[in-house]
Amino acid sequence: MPSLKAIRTRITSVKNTRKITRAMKLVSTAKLRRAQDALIAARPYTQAISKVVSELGAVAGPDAHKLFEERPLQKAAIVVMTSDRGQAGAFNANVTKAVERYAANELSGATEVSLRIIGRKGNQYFSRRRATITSFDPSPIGATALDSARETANRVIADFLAGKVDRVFVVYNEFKNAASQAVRVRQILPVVPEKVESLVGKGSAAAAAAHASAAAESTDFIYEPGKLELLNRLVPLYVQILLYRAALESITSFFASQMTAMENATKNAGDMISSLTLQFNRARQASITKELAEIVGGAEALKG
Amino acid sequence: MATGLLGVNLVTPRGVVAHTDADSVQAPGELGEFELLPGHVPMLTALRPGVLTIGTKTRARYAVSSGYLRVDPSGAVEILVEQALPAKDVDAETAKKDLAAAEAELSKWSDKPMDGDYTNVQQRAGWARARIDTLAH
Repeated sequence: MPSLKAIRTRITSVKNTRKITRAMKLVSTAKLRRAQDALIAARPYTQAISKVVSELGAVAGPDAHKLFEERPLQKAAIVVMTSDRGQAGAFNANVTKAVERYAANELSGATEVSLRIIGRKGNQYFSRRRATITSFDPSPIGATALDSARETANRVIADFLAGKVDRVFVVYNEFKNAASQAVRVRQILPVVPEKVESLVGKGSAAAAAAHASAAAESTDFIYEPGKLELLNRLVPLYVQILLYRAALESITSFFASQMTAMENATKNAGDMISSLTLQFNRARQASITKELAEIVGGAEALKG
Repeated sequence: MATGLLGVNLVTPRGVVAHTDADSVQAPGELGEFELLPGHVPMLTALRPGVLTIGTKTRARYAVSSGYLRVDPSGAVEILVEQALPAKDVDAETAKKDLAAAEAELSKWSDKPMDGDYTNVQQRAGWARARIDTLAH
């Protein structure tokens, strides 16, 4: 049985831990709200550029642009979105596991799978396992996510155009709601125009109709410069927004899972405190009983 | 709309920057500066980094990076750019510093491959130049 003093020290230390986890939970709740706002703010832009790229793709034909070109799969690249910090449950483990599973199953035909890692945690994991890492950047925060997405997009586009990679995927945590996040794997290059439609959020029949009307409507449009030059400008922006959205989803999910993890930690600390308090009270009672027994024993001895 | 105003919507990934009715729009097109007036035919054009001005009477100036401008058959003008900053929010010092840093990096590039990172530095320089131009009247 540990001494009374030892138990009291433990209770104080667990109480301090609980203060920290509770504060961290509040911080991540506030940050989660801001990240969600950024996700919502990105929606009009995403929808508009998806629409324009799919319209242009429909008018110019699916093979019109080099970034639409489907090549036999030899070299694949995966953009891995993780966080810089832990304390967020299985947030990073889910992503790294999904990357490994995807590379082993779906990409088993590829001769080479290289990684572009965002977030220190992913880098730690994959450099320990000696994976091919092309680049590593720290995880962006809301304010820098756009710059980070632009730079990553330009890099993967250059690699794709130079023939260094044939497919580019992004793996990230998708934010469903504060309680659940799911890992998603998404192909970003070559750009698949059909996927552009589905992103706008229509049923397939409606999408087909929209496609046809878009094609008819766009014949009256003036395109300046030509359609191909426009695609040259806009497809990279589309790839960038895909990565930007993935980064925002990842940031939002991070705060959500950190919130959950910290809530659990706070609850566990509370449970621990009550069981330690119980133990403390028992120990105190035991020592009182012992003292009483000694007094009674002493009194008996004097009487005799 | 043959007459009247242009319904202008300026959108970036960070959100809607401006949503107003204006009598004209001056934009930095890929083929050169142009002015858009009400009643324009449907058009889709690429924009390069530069200065965007909405309205002639009340001029709202923005530094914008690349994107597009689309005139809808209904006459609405949709301007999508990757970044947009109102002229009053432009910080001249930061912009000049960014431009100097990007240009220094570009001048040292010479034998390194012209890959995605080169494009990144170029775009950083373009965005810095657009912000500086916004301040010049």
